[in-house]
Amino acid sequence: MTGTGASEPTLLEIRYRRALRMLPEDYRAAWGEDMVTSLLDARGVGDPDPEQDELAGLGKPGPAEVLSVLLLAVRARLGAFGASPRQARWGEAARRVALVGLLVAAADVLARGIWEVAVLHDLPTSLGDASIANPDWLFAGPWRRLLALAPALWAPAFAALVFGRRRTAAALAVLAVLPELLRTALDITGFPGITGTLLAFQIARLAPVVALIAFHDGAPAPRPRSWLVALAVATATLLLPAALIDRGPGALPPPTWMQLVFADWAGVCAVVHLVARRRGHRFGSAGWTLALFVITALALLQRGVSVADYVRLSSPEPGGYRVFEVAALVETVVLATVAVVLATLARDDLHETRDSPAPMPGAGPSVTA
Amino acid sequence: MATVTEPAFFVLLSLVDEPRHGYGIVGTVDDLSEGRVRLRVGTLYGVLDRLAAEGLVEHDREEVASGRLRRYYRLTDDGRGALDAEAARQAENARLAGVRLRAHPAPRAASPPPPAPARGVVALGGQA
Repeated sequence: MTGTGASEPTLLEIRYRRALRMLPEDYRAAWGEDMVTSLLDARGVGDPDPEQDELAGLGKPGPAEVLSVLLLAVRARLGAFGASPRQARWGEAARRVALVGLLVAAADVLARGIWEVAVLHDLPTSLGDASIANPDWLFAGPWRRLLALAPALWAPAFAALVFGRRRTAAALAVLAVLPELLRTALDITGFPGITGTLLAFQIARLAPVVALIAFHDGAPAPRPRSWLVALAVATATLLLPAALIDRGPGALPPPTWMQLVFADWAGVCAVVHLVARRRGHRFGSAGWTLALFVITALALLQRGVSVADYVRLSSPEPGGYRVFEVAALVETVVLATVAVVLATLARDDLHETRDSPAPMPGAGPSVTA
Repeated sequence: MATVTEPAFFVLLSLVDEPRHGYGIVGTVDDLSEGRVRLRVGTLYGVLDRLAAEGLVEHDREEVASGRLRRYYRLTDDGRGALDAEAARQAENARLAGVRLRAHPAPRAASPPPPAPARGVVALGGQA
């Protein structure tokens, strides 16, 4: 064993120690040895019967134990109790990425629903129509209705999250995102030429759902009022361009222009943040810098890849779409510049955040043999 | 203390009588909950980490057994208070549930409905 150096570590102990490497180093320093002991105790290593002891020492870590260590490692790296200030910063940023991601998705479905009911005087139908492939076996009958309704779950998922119901929010968000992933898989199969664009959009959709794991026990609850105001503003921001300019016969359908606005949002929020940071406003905090870097990077990925696909696939003769191409390219360059600035600032912030060891429970140990 | 999850409740409960080491807590929780709450080691240390940060448990001592160090944890006064408050909260919830269930008994819950006669069988009292 390594704790006292009394004997050689067993194969099982070596394997457990390997699994514990998933934990942050300072967390491991505080809890690792005791965790190894508990893991080995649970497997019967140290049994008075030498044969049993040897047999237990040759085992492999159980998948459930490894999974529990993995989840602990994720929580520790995202600022759970005992995490270092740097990990707490990452956790704070991840929670904001989750909130902003669900906000974007909720505003998207709300704006589409309002647009279709108020302007097109029809029931919301475009929610489930994003698939280009549209195979009959899936997009017909009751399946079609279910798939059409699934994205609407983004709105209650966001509401649940801001009101502190993180498990409900996670369950609803997973139900909302799964049909979208399914459609993307079908579209990639049917239209391999735009695989990059489709993947980039789904990565941006999926990342906030994964980031929900940062809402662990003890994570501070969001302030519902601020986030609900943000949802109202975001929904209005999505509807405004359509109401002002996009009503002609050749107008882009809602699902298209809704997605286009996301990159603008991210860029504007990032610039406002940089100004707020200079002025010492709350929105200019270091936690927001890191979160907005991730959000801007996701928007840049979407915009960059989709512009590349668009330019590659668009007709070579000059036409009305040239304006869109130029605007999208400018947008990409602005986002890339802002992302670099945010990345530099976030790196400096993290560097300045001194890592301190995870708190040890109680006073110093008194070892008794 | 903001919330006491079920694993945290049982970890606190397991430390009421004496300090215990990690695996000792796992075993005691298993016994106390009659096998309903089975703590994985990753879960246990996530809970211990949180309870220690909140000052509800603390390090008691370390011992060497079978060549390995074992760290013992004990309940603090705050931890005992938090457990007491949570137990009182749960008892009040249980009392309320009992009062409401007694006040609104389920209709016809006392006697099960008679079995339906099999298809094609003439019920008693019909033509003889």
